[in-house]
Amino acid sequence: MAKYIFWRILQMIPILLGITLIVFLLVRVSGDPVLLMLGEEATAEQIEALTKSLGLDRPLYVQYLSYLGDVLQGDLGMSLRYVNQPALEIVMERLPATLTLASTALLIAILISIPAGIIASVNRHGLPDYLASFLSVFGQAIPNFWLGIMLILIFGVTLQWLPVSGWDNPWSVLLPAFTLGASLSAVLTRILRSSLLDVMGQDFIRTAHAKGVSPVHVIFGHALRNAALPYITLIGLEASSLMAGAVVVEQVFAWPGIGLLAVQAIGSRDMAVVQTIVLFAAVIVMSINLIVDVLYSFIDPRIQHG
Amino acid sequence: MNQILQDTKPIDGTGTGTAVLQVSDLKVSLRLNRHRKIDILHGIDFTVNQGETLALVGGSGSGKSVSSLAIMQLLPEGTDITGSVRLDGQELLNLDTKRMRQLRGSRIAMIFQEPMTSLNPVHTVGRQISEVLRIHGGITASAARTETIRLLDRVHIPAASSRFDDYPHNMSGGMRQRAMIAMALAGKPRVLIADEPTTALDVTTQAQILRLVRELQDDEGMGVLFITHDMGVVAEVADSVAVMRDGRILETGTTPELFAHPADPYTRQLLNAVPRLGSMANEPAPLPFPDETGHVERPAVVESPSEAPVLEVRNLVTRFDKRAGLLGRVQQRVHAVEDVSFSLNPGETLSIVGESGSGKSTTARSILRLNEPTSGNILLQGTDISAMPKSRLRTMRRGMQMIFQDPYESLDPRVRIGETIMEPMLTQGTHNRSEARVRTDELLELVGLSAGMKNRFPHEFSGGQRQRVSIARALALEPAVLVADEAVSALDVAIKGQIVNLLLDLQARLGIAILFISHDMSVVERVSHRVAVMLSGRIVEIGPRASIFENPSHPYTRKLLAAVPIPDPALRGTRAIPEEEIRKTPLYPIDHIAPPSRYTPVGPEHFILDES
Repeated sequence: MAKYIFWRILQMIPILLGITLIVFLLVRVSGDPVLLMLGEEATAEQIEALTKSLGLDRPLYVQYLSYLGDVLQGDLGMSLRYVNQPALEIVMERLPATLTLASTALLIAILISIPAGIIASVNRHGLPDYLASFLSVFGQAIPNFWLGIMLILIFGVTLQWLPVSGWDNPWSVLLPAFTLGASLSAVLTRILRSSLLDVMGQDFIRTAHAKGVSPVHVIFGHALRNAALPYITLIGLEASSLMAGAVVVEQVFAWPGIGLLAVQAIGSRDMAVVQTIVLFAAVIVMSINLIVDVLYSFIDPRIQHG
Repeated sequence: MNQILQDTKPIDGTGTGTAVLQVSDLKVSLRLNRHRKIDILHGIDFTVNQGETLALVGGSGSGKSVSSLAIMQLLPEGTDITGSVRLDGQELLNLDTKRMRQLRGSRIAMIFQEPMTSLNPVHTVGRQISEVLRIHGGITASAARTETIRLLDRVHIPAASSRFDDYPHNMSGGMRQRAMIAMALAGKPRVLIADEPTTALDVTTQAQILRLVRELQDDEGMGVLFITHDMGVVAEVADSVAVMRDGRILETGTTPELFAHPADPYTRQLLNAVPRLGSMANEPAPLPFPDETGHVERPAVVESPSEAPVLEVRNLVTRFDKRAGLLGRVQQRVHAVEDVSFSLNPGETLSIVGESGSGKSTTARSILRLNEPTSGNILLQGTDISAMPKSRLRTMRRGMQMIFQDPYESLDPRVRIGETIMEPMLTQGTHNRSEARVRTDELLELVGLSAGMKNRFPHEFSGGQRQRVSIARALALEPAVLVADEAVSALDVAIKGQIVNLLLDLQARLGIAILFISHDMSVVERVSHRVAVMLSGRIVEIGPRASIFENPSHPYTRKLLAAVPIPDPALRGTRAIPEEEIRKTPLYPIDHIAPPSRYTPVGPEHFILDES
């Protein structure tokens, strides 16, 4: 297993290389940071001087290779917007907020979807099932920025139960995390329902009933673990939408994470910061998928990594 | 080694005479909606006595499995059960669900057909058995472990204590079924319901499991309700028999009585349809099964196949790469087919027999190049197709067509069967649309269906009819060779006979050559001109049918034949049951050099593999 994880981490390297190249090019295609920094009245000499001092006058491949060389030494470049601050430092400062938000959102989605999926599948075609289906479709259909604003209006402004902006106390995370986790909990509920229905029709469930196992234990002791594979596969696939969703949700709730930072950095063409954020996001998504793959073999003994 | 099964008690159907399970006027109906329901069981009665086995026999859809699930009250919601089911005199049908649950797995236990899917794949076998002990016995985990190991040992699982923590996928089919039986025994049941427990198993494994069930019954004094479609199995295990059809019991009697004097025409038909090994001793050519009246229609003798072979397979090898490691390098290879050679003449049937994993299906698929062979030559009507490019291969496929095992899975459920039959003619361009339509009508008549059925969908047909559709599709291109891969294995015994008869009739009329892949020795004896026995990817014995069955020369062939149940209760306990052995997949390192297959003649055209 250790060997497998080691190899999987090695495999991430070429993927990360590809990502650095794509982001590097995209950032440069999107516009010239020098113009933005100096403003409209800059003279040609000023522009040329700054371009030269930032190294932007060199051919693209030279710029990329030198960037890559720096990255390998742990230097992810300096921010253009926050003078004299390394991009890595800025991103690391914001990372905990995003990780807190995303993991709380994931936790909320799991806490909603497991009971909802079980109740829906047990009462197939009954009222709870239709209710869960309705809420699922609803959760997937509404955009998270709208849901966020509604939650702010209801729980923040009208009821004044929860804080609506920033990260001042532990409760602050609830509304943004629920906003981010709502659509995930909807898709997870649906996959768990159908996966459980599938498992409940299997022969070994009939065997469990024939042994005299109680209906509750049939679900929790026999069915749930068998139904878990598609469920956690989906969590792995949805990890990237969780990161993408964070960008929007952080805007709505002024959540001080890398999503908010990303929007600001893109607006000001802060190349090093954008590249760093993308790199971190990629590592996070790949790590979640690695964890999911490792979990497979713990859940299902038929899957062996090695 | 081989041991003779000793019967300790006579088969007189009396046993101790104490009824443990009494079923009377049991009716089951399925509610379709508020106003409509379908009756599935129309009031059945039977009694299982202590220490005795009652076999419930019937074809698919007869209601035998529904009966067992009704007794266990495991039928899905929407079914109504009425009548009476008494276990040791106690009425089960008016028990509340909790009380019934306490009886299930303790006083009345059940084993199922599919040992592959009936065990939970994510729990260890030991845990699944001890679960029964913990639910019903209320004992500690360590006591449950000890008792579970005793039970595993009881069902003759070798090195029982080391198998406790094995998962089902670590075990062979036979071992899994033993584990299922151990699970059923855990609660010391008064009644064991066995629903087709050996149907999915290889014949040697089946013989082992049947012996185990009888041995345990003798020791524990359980009543056994044994559900099966196989009269051979009935003759092996049952004290008495109840024959079911369409949700009714037609006839009940002790096993010897019922086999000797079947009263109901359906029972006679069931018994007639059972292939009896050795019944072909003096027959020169394949013989159809008798029809309902017992009459055998002998086909016109096919012209002696003196022509050149229509199919020649030389040194066929098919190996599958086993990749492992991160870079997916080939680490090992499965030698699924290893140096297989044979020829097939026009109008001839060559059967390839063997147990699961022997390579018989891979051989068939490789010949059609549905699997790419690793090496060897395949000559179809003189043309080597083994290295033919894919574009030409398509045209070649006209000459050789396949019928598959499962008539439910091998027809597209959303396509009308007429379209299915026409498709090969249109794809190959042998007929235009209107010609193909005419030909489809002819084909449907040829396989015993009617032209008017062509606009129906597969779900509107029974299993046997679907297999007829598959045959019509295979015949559409007038192939010289028909490859039938377990084509009758999934069918009820009466239907099986009809389909076999259809194939024999078509062969006589069209002069078609048939490669018949099967694990069923009795059917093979009936249909074949020649037989090849496969084991671990190689043909171990090949020869004329009569010579193989009357003078089986390879030890494996002898073992296969010995394990086939004989549908004659008088012969019970007279034959040696081969020991079950775990045969490993022929998996070799990549640098393994497989020795060529060399054969020694043991009779005219009859060869066995040299063991080295």
